[in-house]
Amino acid sequence: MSPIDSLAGSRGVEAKEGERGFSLVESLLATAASALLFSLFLGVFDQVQTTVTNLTRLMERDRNLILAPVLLGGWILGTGNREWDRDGDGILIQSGILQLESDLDGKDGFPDGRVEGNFEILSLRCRTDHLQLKSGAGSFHSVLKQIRQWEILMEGRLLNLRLTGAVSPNLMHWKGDGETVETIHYTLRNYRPNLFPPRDG
Amino acid sequence: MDEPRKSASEAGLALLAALLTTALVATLVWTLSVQNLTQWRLLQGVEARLYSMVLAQNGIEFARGLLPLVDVDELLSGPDGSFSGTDLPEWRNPLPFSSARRLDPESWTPDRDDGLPARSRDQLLPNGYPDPGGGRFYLRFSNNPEEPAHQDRDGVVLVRSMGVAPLKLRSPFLASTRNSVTLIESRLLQETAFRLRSALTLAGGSGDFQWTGTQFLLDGGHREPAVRFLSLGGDGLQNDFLHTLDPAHADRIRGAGPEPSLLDSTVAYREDPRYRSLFQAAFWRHFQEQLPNLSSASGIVHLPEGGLLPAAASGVLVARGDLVLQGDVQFRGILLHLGGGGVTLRDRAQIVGGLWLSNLSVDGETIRGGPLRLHLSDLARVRYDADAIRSGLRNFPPTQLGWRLLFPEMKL
Repeated sequence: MSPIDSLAGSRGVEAKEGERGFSLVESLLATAASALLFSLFLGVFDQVQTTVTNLTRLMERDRNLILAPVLLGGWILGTGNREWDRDGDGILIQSGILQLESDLDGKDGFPDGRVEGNFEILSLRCRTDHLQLKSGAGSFHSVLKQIRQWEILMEGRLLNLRLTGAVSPNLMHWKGDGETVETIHYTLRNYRPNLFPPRDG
Repeated sequence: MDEPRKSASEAGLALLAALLTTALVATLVWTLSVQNLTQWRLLQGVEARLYSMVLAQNGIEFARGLLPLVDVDELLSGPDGSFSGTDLPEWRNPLPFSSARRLDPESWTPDRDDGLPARSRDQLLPNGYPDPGGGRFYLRFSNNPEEPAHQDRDGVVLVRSMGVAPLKLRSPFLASTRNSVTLIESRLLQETAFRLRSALTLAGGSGDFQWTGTQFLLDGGHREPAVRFLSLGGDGLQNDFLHTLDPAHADRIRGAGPEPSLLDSTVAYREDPRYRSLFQAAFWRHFQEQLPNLSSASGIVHLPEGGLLPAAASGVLVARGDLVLQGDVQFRGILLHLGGGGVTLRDRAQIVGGLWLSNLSVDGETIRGGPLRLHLSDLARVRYDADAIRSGLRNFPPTQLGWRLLFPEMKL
């Protein structure tokens, strides 16, 4: 019996067949292999995470651009189109702010409407990658993210909006700025030309 | 005894771990599902809202196209011919707001037919207009508040269009909101100033009229005069006309009343809300400015330089300069000649409907009338025909006086 065996035997523990512990070299090799695998896993995980984050940001940008016409349509068609016996278009474009006026004549316009004053004035602008909305004399608040800029152009009865959607913050490990452009056209139906004028009196 | 105890303890720990893992995964799945469902519902709500708005707008366009084709009084009473009154709440709406939100379009029928889209006593949209996308719009016309609810005099009507879009995602907790509903009201004017009521209507201050032969004919029929005069920018028009007639022409100008059948309608038209605008500078300025933009789109033929009418035509013809109808050519409808020359009818040329002659210029709020020129010869005829005039009027698009969104909080 070797001294080691006798030492083991003295503690009443005997290594059975197949239950022998790892040697130091084996342990070191296993640790090194584990570290390598772990670092590889971290690398892959980082790649996957970057890709997922980029995809999420791009999808969010696209979703906002898809949602923008729907939301803008509701505001523009629903508020800017209320005109009563006047030629004014009810739309004001100034310094990148689109102002939509409604029910310009207040209670005189529609006597049965219980409207005491101008029903609504909505203002829209684009600031710090956000599309912002202001109602009446209130303050602007953000309604859509990732809209970097917008251009407004009125051509007769056609209101053209050109929205530039951008990824914010920027895409990771990507040189492009992730910008894409959406152009929307709204026909302001109420401001159609009429062959005959409204009757006077 | 140690082995089974140890095994049971390990099994319990594994079960606990499995339960915790399952709970964690279930919570994660539930949270994500609720989040997605909420976002989807919000998006559906926005989409349905916009869809219902577009449907309601399409309803207004439908009404705009329909209005020139129908008799407004018949429309207000509905196909049954009797007006049900204004006592019902929301009587101007196609259906009450609250009902529309819960509406099942397949099972809905209107409770009264007043103002529903109809033509020749036939309902056009008995169950609303079904859109392929699953939504519908419903329409109801009503008279403007300034007039009796069942009788139109001024040509102004209100039309309310209700767009109803089903919400695709419904919840048992929100049973009352089956649909998204948008209600739009438009105030439309069907202009009647050119509803001519004679074979020839002369509007101006003076004129130069030539009659060649004794075979031409100005025929007002049994009810209307052959010629109506409207003094605009002068009062010598009727005298100029009478001076050119000799006794042999008297029976060639026939209609209601003694021959020659002539009637000065200046005072009557000035007081009639349907014709009052003919005496307003703003009316003529606007009409002449807008005519070139709208003539081709609305089916109105515009000949700014006049010329020879090459073939038979119908509807509305607006001309300036020298206009000639000759040979067998026939025009059916409303022929408006606005000056800058004259109108010549010769051979067997014929106008069935009505001929309007004016030569007006607008200076600020003042209307100035230039001389009118008309030459009839041979077998040329101008014959008043109410149906032809009605057909012609259908080419005039309604004027939109107002447009608004209505909400349930408003007095409906």
